[in-house]
Amino acid sequence: MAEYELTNESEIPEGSSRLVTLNDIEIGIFKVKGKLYAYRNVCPHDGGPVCNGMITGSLVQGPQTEWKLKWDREGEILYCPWHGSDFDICTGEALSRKPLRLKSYPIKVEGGKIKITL
Amino acid sequence: MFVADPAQCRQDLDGFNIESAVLFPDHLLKIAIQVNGDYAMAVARAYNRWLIDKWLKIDGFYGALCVAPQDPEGSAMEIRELGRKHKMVCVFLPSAGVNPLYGHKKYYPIYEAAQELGIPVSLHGLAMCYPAFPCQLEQFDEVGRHGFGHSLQMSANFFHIMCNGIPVRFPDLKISFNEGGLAWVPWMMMRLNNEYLEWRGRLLPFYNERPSHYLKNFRFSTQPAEEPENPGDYQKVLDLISTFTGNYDNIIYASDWPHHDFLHPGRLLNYPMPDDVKRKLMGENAAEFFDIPRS
Repeated sequence: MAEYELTNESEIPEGSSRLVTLNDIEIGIFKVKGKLYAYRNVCPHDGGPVCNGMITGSLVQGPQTEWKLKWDREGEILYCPWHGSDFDICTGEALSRKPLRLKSYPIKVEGGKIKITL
Repeated sequence: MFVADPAQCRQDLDGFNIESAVLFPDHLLKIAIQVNGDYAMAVARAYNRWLIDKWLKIDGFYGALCVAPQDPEGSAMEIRELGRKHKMVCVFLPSAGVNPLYGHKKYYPIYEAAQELGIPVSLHGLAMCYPAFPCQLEQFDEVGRHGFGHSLQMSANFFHIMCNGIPVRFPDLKISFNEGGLAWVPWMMMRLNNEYLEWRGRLLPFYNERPSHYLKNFRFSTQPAEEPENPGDYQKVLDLISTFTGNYDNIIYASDWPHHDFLHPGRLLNYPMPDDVKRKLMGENAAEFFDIPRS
């Protein structure tokens, strides 16, 4: 286990992401609702560069929307560019296939600096 | 083969040791192509009353209520009038030539009525292409229409039903798919799950799990049975379906008697399968699904 100090937290605006490479491992850093998340840039579905994907939302339709299509959770869903697997950035869980989950890394902010533990 | 009257049919089925049977129409298997929906509905209503009067008084005979998909409102009225009465245990939905396929919202009145009464809807096919359903089948002769078309009618309707979220829109609706065999089921489920993984957030927003998680109320019947090179491989088809459903409750024996391609019960009974699976296939699952009393 090693801790790596990265950029200033203020350099990652809300709703954006940044790709970094640590020990030859590509890691995507995301900020959603003021909180940071770090995930390995490998999609658990088929190995795609998931962290390069769109940060988007998701369609919802069901009894709770009276069967009307509703766009929901804008800015909270990561959409893999290879096959469209969608992940909840706040949990790393796949929306489309529950057992799938992004590989996450502990991330924190100390003295305004982002620190990731590998 | 031909069945002339109810007594002869009862005698035939006794010969196969078949105690209870759900009767589907023969010539009305193609009722979906009748362009006059009012006429189709009138024929369906007449057939249902004839079936009740002439056939369902026989012990062990149960009816599939005929409706006209061209007239969903009329069909729903007929379901509410006769469904689960007079030994009518399911609603027959013709798959041959139906347009649009059964995932379309046009059919919601039928599904609402069936769900309300707890009566299953049962798709049944016919070796027929109309006009080119589902994909250039007009290029085939009888072998292609029969061997290929039946399974395609079922798989196309199944896929359409799943793509339009029918099992979540009507969570208590019971649906069975008949005369397509079984091997298409794992094929469709794997394709559908794959599509879901790619498109969930864009095109299948009504499912919170993979589509294969929503098969609880679906049943698939055996006829025409697959012909595996090794008879033991039939069990593998059942096993593949059970990987999606978690059990063997979704598979029902169907005879298709008296058609030329009927499935003799002895053929399935001779396949190397565990006895408890055979019991489920040969009667228990159907009795539970159609709510038929067990002797």
